[in-house]
Amino acid sequence: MKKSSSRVFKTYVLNIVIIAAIFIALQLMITNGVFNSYTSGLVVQIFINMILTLSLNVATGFLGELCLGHAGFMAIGAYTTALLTINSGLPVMIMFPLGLIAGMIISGIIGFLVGVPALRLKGDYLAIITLAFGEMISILLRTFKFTGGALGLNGIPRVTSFAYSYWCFIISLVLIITFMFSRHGRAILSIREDEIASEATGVNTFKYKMIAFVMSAMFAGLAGGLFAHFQGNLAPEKFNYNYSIDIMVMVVFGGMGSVSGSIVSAIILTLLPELLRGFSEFRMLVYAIMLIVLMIFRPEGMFGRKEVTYRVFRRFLKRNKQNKPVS
Amino acid sequence: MALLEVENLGIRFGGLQAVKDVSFTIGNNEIVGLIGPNGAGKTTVFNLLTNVYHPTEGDIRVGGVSTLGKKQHETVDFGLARTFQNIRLFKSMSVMENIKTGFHHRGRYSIPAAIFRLPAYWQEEANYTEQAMDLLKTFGMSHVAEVEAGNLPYGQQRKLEICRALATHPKLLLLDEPAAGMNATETQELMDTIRLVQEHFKISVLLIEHDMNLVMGICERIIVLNYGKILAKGLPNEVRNNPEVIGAYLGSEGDPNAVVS
Repeated sequence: MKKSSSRVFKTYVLNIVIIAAIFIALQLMITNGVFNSYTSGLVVQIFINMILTLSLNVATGFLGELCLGHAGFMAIGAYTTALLTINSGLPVMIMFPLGLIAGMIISGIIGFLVGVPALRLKGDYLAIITLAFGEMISILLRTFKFTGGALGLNGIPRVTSFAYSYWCFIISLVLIITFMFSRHGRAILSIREDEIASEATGVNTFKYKMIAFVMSAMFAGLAGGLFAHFQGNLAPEKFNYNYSIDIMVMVVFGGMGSVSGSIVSAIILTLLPELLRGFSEFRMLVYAIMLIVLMIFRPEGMFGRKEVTYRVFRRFLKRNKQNKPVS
Repeated sequence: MALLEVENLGIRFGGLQAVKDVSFTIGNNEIVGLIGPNGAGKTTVFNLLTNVYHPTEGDIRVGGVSTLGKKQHETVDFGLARTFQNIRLFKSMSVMENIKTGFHHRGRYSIPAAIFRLPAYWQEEANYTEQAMDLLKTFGMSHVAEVEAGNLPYGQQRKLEICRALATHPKLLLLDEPAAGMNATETQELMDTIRLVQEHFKISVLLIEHDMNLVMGICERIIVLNYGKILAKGLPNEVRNNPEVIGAYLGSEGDPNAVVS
């Protein structure tokens, strides 16, 4: 008991050190001009995409329900936050964090409302409902006056700095991990594995499906809010089903149900199209071919359901020690 | 008072009366067999007991409290846990996690406690691990605690399913064809397991089974179902020699009960 609690403490310290070190390293590179404005923009985009991928992974990877309207939740978060910072009259630096929280809450509420009918269905049917919902949002945003109609929203203060995107990502990551590795997370996993058995074992499956779905929507909303203030403008067409599919691709590429997979695949799939600019017109073709190759050779995604944990490293180190020839 | 009282239970799916006038009781710490030919309604009775279906007639009481109108996941709160005809494990979760899921409904710590890793989380999780380990030890499975459930051999998967059901702290364990697909050795092992459940956990077991060796070997009482009605009830020997039961299983020309529902 004592041994394990000291190990937990050590892990906490190590986590905090790593998180801080990455932050300081990246921040220094950005302020000292190692990254130009294009590259640092890419870094912010990577962190936003990581939040997005993680959030969809909660609904699709952990809960196991195919959601094809994730861009819709992101749009709700994006517009809510942007409208608040533009119209509230408060200083942006105060309003922006509040707006992000508001965006999460509104996304969560909409997620709940969509979930009530949608979560009674399974698999393909749920996918179609969420797909339809995503399209609905995109069309509504185009119709409403206060969202700027088809022109979208312009003049959103561009305040999503690297620090914002990074810390929002860390918060999302920590919340999702701590939630998933608890009795509540286990309940959600058990629904993915076998809903009938889960219900018979005493899990209120509807409740936990709803929790996962709302959580997924909330973090998508957060990513949306960051995205809006990163871009500086919002167009309703951006949030169509293509974008939902893009997010889904990141989740599947990384491995459904793997947090580590989501992180790595968000990095790769954000960078890849940029790195492939050299191929000019064949860019998307190469990207598509790489996806096909991965799906053929590793249909479960890069990480499957595995995680990169300290335990993996410890085991790896141990094995290496044992393998060293005795000289 | 009997542990489980089933009174004139019946369910109708449209024009089909799947179960009718089924009444029986189960006392504390006994093993009861529920047998009958295919399609007799045995699994339907299980599904009624665990609130998968809601009866159109009759009543089910556990410890004197009616379970009618309850949700499926609330069944375990009454002390009824079940296994399935075709094994339903959480295949890509570890053996340990499968069992811990069984503790879920008695879990106390909230979502904030989980997210912020409050002391309640650590205490309860440590508690779960300990209890799960105890349970695995009892069934001689502690060495596979970290194995993915789907990778276990068939017999152990059955055992794990029983363990998971036991983790919910049932008073009555419902086993749906536990010996299906097992060879003679595995069936023997299963019989030992079921006896162990009865003796170690002091609970009752109601089991559906086609394997007569198993049924006659461990059941203290047997209920025979045919065409959704109770055909016979009694001690294994009485049931075995009951001409109506023999008729239902082997078919008989003279007995109208066997063919008319």
